[in-house]
Amino acid sequence: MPHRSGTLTFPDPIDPAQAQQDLALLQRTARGDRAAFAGLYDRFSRPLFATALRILGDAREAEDVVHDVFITLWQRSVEFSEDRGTPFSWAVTMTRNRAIDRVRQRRRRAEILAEAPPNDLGYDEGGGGSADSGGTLDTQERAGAVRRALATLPHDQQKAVELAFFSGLTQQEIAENLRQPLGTVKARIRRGLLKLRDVLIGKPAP
Amino acid sequence: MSVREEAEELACLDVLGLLDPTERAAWEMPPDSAEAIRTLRRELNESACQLAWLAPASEPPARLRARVLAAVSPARETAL
Repeated sequence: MPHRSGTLTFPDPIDPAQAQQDLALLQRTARGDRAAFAGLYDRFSRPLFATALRILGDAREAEDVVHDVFITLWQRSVEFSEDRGTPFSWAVTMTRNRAIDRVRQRRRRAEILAEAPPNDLGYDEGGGGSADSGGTLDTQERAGAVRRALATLPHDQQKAVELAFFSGLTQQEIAENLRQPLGTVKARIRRGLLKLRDVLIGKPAP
Repeated sequence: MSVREEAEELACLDVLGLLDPTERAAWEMPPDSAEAIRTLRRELNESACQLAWLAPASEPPARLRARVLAAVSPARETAL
């Protein structure tokens, strides 16, 4: 169901019906239902692969990360608790954590080898992979909805939040990358993510 | 910064994986605010995870689907 934020109307990127379908598939997966697991793959693989590719900038590594995440979903689906979030956020969190671990390992190896650090420190606007023509209609709609939500944030908050999500940088490295004091960057991330929450979940700020 | 803002900031940094172990260990909420912080953290995490849709659209290779499904096939599962 669409909701209003200020004077704008957004489709619901966090669609309760979609989340319920995801949950049903995960619960069937936990009972060993391979068709349900394939259904989860078909629903999640695009955003998970795109996220891993954006973070890693390497399609082969992104493929390995997404493979491992789906195997973990299969093996640990029985442990999933709705109290901690939706199946989608569980899968995204695993993907992001694993991709960032690889980025940080890569950087540690580079430091050990005394190589120059990468200029963009892993923040790659282009994604570096095999971008397609824009994805399915559902992918485009959800991406558009999230993009519109992000656009309600001031530009400095957008940049801080996106950099924090996709770069694998530490707080201090984000501050250095943005050439801002650490406290300013933390405040931008806080304000930006809270605003994003208000828009995406339709929660009015108290 | 107020106590509330500080808690919000720590929750935001936590869901983005930006807290170092020391900060994470030091982040202890008063018991009466624990449930509110858990709810806040969950909402922030759900919101942050939607950013995954912003990554440039990329089609995973077809071999990945085959590889994932083969790994959970009855014949292979015992090897996992």
